[in-house]
Amino acid sequence: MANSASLPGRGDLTIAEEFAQKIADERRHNQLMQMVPGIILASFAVLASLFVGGFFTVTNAINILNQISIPLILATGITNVIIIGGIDLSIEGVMGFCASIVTLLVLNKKNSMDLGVLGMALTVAAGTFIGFVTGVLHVKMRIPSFMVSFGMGSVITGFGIMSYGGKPATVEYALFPAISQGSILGIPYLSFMALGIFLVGCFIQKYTAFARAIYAIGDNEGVLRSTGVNVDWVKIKAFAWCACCASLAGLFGAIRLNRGEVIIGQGNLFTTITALVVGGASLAGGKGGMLESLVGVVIVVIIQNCMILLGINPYIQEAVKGVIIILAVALSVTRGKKDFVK
Amino acid sequence: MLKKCLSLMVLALVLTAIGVSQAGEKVFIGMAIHSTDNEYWNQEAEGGKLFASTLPPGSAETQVLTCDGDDEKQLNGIKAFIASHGQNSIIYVDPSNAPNTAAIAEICEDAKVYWTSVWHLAEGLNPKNYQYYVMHQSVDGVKQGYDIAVKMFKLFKTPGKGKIVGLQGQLGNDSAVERYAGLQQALKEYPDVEFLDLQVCDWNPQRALNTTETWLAKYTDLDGIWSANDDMALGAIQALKAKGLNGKIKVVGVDGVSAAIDAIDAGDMVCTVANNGFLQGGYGAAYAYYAWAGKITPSKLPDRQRAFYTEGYLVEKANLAKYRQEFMNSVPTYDFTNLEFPVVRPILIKD
Repeated sequence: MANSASLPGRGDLTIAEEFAQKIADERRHNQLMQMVPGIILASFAVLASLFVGGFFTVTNAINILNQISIPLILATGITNVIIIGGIDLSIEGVMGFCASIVTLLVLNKKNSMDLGVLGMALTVAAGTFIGFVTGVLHVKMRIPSFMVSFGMGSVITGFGIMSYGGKPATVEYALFPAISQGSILGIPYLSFMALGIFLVGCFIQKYTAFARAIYAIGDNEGVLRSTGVNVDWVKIKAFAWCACCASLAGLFGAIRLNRGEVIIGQGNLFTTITALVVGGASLAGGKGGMLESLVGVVIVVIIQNCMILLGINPYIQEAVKGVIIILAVALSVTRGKKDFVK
Repeated sequence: MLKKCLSLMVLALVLTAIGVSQAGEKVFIGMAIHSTDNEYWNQEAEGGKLFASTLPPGSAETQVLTCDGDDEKQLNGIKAFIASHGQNSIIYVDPSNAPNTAAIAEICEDAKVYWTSVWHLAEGLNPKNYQYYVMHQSVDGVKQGYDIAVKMFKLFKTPGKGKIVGLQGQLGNDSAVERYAGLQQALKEYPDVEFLDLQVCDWNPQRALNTTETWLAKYTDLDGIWSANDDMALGAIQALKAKGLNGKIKVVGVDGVSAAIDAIDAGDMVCTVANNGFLQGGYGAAYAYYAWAGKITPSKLPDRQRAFYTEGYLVEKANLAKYRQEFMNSVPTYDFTNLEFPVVRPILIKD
């Protein structure tokens, strides 16, 4: 005690005051760290505007909005799964599967189906169901989420390929090009829709008991379980919502390309997880949120955009993305002051 | 009683032996391809079936072995196929990767199974050094990349003068590397064509779409987009459509997927080169079959028939109707007894 009492500036504090100050310090520190991704984003934007030719233009701003759409929807879904400390590796598979089947359900060149909007709704329902199954397998059979979702992603990719038998369908449904090429004030419809889905995610996070349970699970699942909350059901819902968002992303992909194949999903998992981690989510769970995910997505998309604008050697681009994710995780570990690493 | 049992068992054995020898006349054609996730790979498998259909009914059975680009899975699939059909197997292999052909060559040589390969060849491997490795065929990727580039250059407002960008496939992939070498060759011959940027999109149309969008913000005076395959070209076309630039900025690709054929028809794309999987799969199976049937002896074949390039089919607006009629509305027919037919020119393998 004598030692702590003699610490500079803390000599006159009682234990209670000292504790309160410590908490206040930590809170301030946390607040500051939470601002880091935002600061990074702002600096990136300023630097890119100054030094990257073609970045600070209306066309490019619209491009960025366009390119944010799909990762933002995926991030909206997977954020909850990450907060509970799980992971969903099936999002690429679900996305590819939904992109494939939706093109077979609406008017297309491959078969005689013409279900229109109903076909789109059925696709999202099917995708959501896949997430539900992933969730059930995860909680009821107690298979780690990364394993069950990895397997599920593979299964569903196979179904996706089977659905079109190697010959992707080209869409003839007029609504698809109308959505992909339509815009208000130059901003594409799809960007507005993605923003809408993101706002739904924000609403869920702010105003529902589901979201509070999600954070509680990420923090300490045991405590929540002892209060009588149906933790399993909350987890299943998180996976179903994640897959629902992945299906919508698949739908967007198919709309943008006007054709459907499983490859549409590929490469999105890495971008989304990078975005989440860069935004400040912790893969150990308990941390993260919609706004953080948005910031992360924008940062990652801007980096990708700038690398193309700068004409950076493609060999280096892959390495840059890897370095970014490692740096971001390193930062988040320092932030969380983890006691041990598994 | 014991005698009766024994004689019954002997009878059963004899009948089984007769059955086996009858089955021995049937040939099992293994079509080892990447997956069924792509029109071209399906064409290869269909080519094998097409050849089988020219044989007497019931004398051949085709089985498709997929590997999803996984070397180990391909080897295991081939081993299992040989294990179940023995020396009555013949195999057409589209290798997951070049080095895998060396392992497959050893497996087939040990099992005395005739086989042929397409596209990739391990370094130092030469069918001529094997008894059961009948032949290797490929499509000249350099020529594909070159041909589509030149077609595009000639269609610029000022023919042979303009600015282009390139969408590249997976880094290090043989086809991507060869096609890009073809583009570079064309660029050398057309010094007035300026090559602004190359981006890797891993054969993914979604990435090609995003990349093209970004390019359109940077370059306002593009004349053409060279793409290493059709899928990426189609992604680029979607980005151009959103800006009303389709048809104005020329796009070319390789593979001949049906959506690309439609895009050529609509005027959104200049040309593509169809790889003709029917021809490759069909003749690949035919060479192995004739060796198995004893009608040819691989070691006595001329060198040009042991390793050769086949012809791709350059599809453009002018020959679109003909291509559709021959390849899409019907399955092409070939005289598989004419083994010289698919040979365009020999592949020179460095020993």
